[in-house]
Amino acid sequence: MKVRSEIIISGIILLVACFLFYVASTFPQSRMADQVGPALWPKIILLLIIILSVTLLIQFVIQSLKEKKARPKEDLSAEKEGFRMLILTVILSLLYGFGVSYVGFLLSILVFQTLFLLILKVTKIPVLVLYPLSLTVVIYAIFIKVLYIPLPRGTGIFLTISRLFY
Amino acid sequence: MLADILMGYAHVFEFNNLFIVVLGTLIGVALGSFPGLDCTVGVALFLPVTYAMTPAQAILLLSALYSGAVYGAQIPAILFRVPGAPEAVVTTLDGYPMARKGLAGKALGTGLVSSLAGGLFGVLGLTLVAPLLAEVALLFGPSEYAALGILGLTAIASLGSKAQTKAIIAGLFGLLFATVGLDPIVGFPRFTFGTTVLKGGITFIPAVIGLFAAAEVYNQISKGMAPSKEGLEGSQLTSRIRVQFPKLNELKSLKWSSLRSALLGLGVGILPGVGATTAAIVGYSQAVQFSKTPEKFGTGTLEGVMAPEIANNAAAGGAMVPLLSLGIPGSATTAVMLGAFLLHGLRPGPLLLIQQRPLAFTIFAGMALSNVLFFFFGFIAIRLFVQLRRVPYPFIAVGILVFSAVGANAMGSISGMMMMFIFAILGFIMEKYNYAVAPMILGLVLGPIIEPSFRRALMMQEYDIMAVIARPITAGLLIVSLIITLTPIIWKLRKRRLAEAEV
Repeated sequence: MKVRSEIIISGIILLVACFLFYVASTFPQSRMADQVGPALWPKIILLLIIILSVTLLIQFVIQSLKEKKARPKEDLSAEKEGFRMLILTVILSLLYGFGVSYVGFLLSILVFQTLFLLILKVTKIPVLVLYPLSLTVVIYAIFIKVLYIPLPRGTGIFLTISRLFY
Repeated sequence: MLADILMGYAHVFEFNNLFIVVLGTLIGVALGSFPGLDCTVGVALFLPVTYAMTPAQAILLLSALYSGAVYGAQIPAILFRVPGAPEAVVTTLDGYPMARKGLAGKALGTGLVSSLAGGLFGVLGLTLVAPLLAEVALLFGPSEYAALGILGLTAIASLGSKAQTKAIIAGLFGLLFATVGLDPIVGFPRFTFGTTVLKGGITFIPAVIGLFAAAEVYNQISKGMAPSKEGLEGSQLTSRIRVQFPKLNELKSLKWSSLRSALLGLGVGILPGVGATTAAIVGYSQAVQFSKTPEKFGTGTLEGVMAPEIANNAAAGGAMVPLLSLGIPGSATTAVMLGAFLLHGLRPGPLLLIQQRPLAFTIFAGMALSNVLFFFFGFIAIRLFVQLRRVPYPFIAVGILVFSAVGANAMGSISGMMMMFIFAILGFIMEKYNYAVAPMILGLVLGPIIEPSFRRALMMQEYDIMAVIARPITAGLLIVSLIITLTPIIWKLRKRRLAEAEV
C-alpha cells in the first residue's frame, strides 16, 4: 500500500515536470540583450526533477515487485477517523480561502473557527461561541486596530457590515 | 568595533526595543517548548506581527524568538523525552534518564546554564566573524553570488537526511517556484498560465507560513491528535520540580568538553545547511569520544545534557553569520529570517553590515540579551509549559490556522490566503511521504539569488562560461560546495564497503 502510493506520487511529479518542461519550451529563446533567455534555468531544474523522479519511480517499482506478499491488515480506525477530519478541514480551509474575499475577514474567520472546532469534535456550545469570538477580538485588536493591516472587507452587504468595524 | 558593540547595547536597552526582546524571548521559549512548534514555525508565524515595527525591532523580535526557541526545546526533552524541536533530540539521551532518576531539576538547571553559555559564545562568534566575512564579501560580483547561492543549496542534502533524493526534488521545486512570475532580466512572464495572481510570483511569506505552520496542523489532525503517553505520565512529575544548578566543581571538570562543544557548535552553525540539530549531535558525540567513561552516557550524565545544549545554542548564533554577512541563509530558520529582512526592505549581506552597522550590532546585542533573558525565563517557562500542554489540541490548531491566515493575507493581497492554504496542503502531503519541506524554502529563497546573478555574470563575460567559473572566489566556493555534497556520499560508500568486508 505504502509503496504503491510512493509510485503514484513520483509518477505525478514526473508528469507535472514533463508538462512544465513543455510549457518552458514555449518561452522565447534568445534575445539580443540576453542570450541565455528565460527558459534555460527552469529547463535545467525541470530536467533534474525528471531524472530524479524517474530514479525514484524505478526504485519503488522494483521494491513493489519484491514485496508482493500481502501483509496482515493493521487496525487503522484511529487513522481513518483522522483522515476523515483532515479531508473536512482541508475542504473548509479551501472554502475559506475562496470565500474570504466575498464575505470579508471578520465574519468569515468567525464562521471558519466554529466549523473547524465542530469538525474536531468540540461540541460544547458555550465553547463553540466564546472561543472563536475571543480569538477574533484579539485578532481584530492586534491586526486591525494596532497594525492597520488591510484585511479583506467583502462585497455587497458584507462590505457594509465590515465597514461598521474597520 | 568596540564603539559599535556598545552602541548596539545602548540601542537594545531603549525601552521599546527592550520590551520587544523580552517579548520575543518569552514567545520563543514557549513555542520552543511546545512539541511541533519549532523555531522555524515560530519565526514564520510571527513574521506578520512585525509589519508595523521598525526593521530593527522586527529583526530583534524574531532573533530573540529564535534564541528562546532553541533553549525552550530542551524542557519537554528532559521532562517527557519529547523534544520540543529537533534541536533537542540529543538532549533527551541523558536529560530524560536524569529526570527518571529524580534529578529533573538538576537536568533543567544544567540545561539552562549550558544554553546560556553556548548562546553567549555563539553571539560572541557572530559579532567577531560576521563583520570580517562581510569585508571579504564586498569583493563579490554576480558570479561569486551565484556560487554562494549554490553553496547554500548544498544544505539541501543535509536537511533531508532521511530521504535525500526526495529532499533534492523538494529543493528543485523550490527553485522552480521561485521562477514563477516575471523573468528577472527580460521581464517575460513564466509559468503564470495567463493569470494575474501568478504574475507577481509565488510570495514567500504565505508559502513559508503554509509549509511550516499550517501544514503541521493538518499533520496532527491526520494522526487523530492522540496525546503522547509520555506526556501524560510526566505531567505528574513536573508539579514537584525545583530547578537546581550544577555545582562549581562539576562545571570546572567539564570546562574543556564545554569549550569543544561551543567551538564545534559555532562552526557547524556557520556552515550552510547544518544547523543546531547537527551541532547538538556533534557536540554530544565529541563529549562521548573524549570521555574517560563513555559507557556512562545515555544513563543520565551531566555532561550528556551540557554538551548538546552548549553546541545547539552556539549554533544559533553561528547560523546568523552567513545570513548577515553574505545574505545567504544556511538553515530553514534563517531562510525565514531572510524573508523578514526583505519584508522591511533590507537586503542582508555585506552592504547591510557595513552601511547599517548600528542595525547589525543592535541585532547582535539583542541576541545576547535574549540569551541572558531566557536564563531567567527558564523558571517561568517550565511552569508555563505544563499549562500549555493542558490546552486541548483543537484550540491550538484553530489558533495556528487563524494566525496563519491573517499572516498570509497581511501582505495586502487576498490571494495570499489561498496560496497559504495550498502550500499547507502541499506541505502536509510532502511531510507524509517524507519529502522534506525545508529544502523547498531554501530553493525558494536562493533561486532569486542564483539565477539573475548567474545570468548577469554570463552577460558580463560575454557568455563564456569558463570565464565566469574561473575566478578565484567563485571556483573556491564551487569546490567547497562539491566537497560538502560528495563527502557524505563517500562516507556512506566507505561504511558500506567496511560492513561488507566484515561479513
